[in-house]
Amino acid sequence: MRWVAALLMGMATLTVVGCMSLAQIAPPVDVLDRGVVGDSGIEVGALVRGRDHYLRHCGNCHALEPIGDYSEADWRGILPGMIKRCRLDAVKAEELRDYVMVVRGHLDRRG
Amino acid sequence: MDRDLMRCRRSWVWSTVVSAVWLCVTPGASEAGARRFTYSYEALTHPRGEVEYEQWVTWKTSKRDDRTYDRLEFRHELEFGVTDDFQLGVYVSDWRYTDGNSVKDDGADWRNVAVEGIYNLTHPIADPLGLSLYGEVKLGDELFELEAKLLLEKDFGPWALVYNPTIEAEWEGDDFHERKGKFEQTAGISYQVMPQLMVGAEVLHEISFDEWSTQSDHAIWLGPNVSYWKDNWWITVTPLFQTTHVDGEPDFQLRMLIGIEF
Ligand code: HEC
Repeated sequence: MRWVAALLMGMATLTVVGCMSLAQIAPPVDVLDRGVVGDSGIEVGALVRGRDHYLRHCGNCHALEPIGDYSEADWRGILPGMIKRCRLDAVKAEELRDYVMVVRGHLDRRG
Repeated sequence: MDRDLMRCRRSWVWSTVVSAVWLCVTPGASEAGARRFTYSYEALTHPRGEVEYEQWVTWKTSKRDDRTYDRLEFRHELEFGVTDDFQLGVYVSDWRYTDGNSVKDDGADWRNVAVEGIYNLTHPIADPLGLSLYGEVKLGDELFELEAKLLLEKDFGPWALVYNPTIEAEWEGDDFHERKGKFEQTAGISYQVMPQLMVGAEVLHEISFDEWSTQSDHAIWLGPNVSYWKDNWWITVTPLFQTTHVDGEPDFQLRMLIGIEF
């Protein structure tokens, strides 16, 4: 049974490392620049849901893509096609799109 | 011709026709994400409304007490995303072909139909650990089987790690009086090399209990896996080598799954 113990420990380690790196790939809403969030006019609750859709849907076919790896213009090109692949309803699709764009704005403001 | 063989052929023809019809009547295929493992399940289920056909082939060969032994197992399965969290699978037909000096009835043999349900509780990325519950009921001519699994998964960037403990209760024979219990665990690790290509390894560990009392030897198999997907289809292959020395178990087995999503 030693390999089961090793495996479970491996999973636990990945869980911890995974949670840490997730904050880099798709930052939680509470660390985002307040000015950017405020200017977007989007409710914080909707952004939190948008992040959740991102985590639940965008890593199911390929590894989750760090939002910072693509520019705002890139995302405008990429998102429509990827959202379609996720089969999200219109509300969820909008929340996901808003979240990505606000994170992009946050990263741009931070430089 | 042998009656079982006829029945096999019929069910094979039938399920091929069914899948061909599905392919024709469901345009606008969705993009598929491949199954990364063949002996293990991942925690995620199909989204609501998604339908997938899975063709399973498992080849088991060369037992220590019969080097001429060969068995090919076939499964034709349809899976449906009932809700975003619940998926239903129907094994339209499981059948097999066996050959070897130690085999009493060589040839093809229809086995069973089955229904499986998977309920997803937590997500492997969004939650600390992905978890789903799996239940299955199999019914054949002289076979009734219940199976329960836990599907655990953690994804980290391009890596995925899974673990499935399984418990099985089987009733076989003329009047289902031969009882057997089985404990099985599988685990796998997989790395995504490109969006469409994943490679990794899987391990399978089995112990069975005849009449729920006599415990068999522990049998363990280990091997690499590779999985590729494109558009709406995918293929995953795992060759497994026995690392223990259990006489009645195959030294080598290979499973290939092909999935087509609609
Ligand atoms: C059903 C499978 C699937 C899902 C779900 C999916 N993707 Fe993709 N994604 C792909 C494939 C396949 C590619 C490779 C390029 C292509 O075929 O368009 C890709 C490529 C990408 C790329 C790279 C694009 C480029 O031009 O380099 C990004 C970024 C991306 N996806 C983001 C996402 C996001 C964000 C989501 C969630 C909204 C998502 N993906 C959901 C299948 C998927």
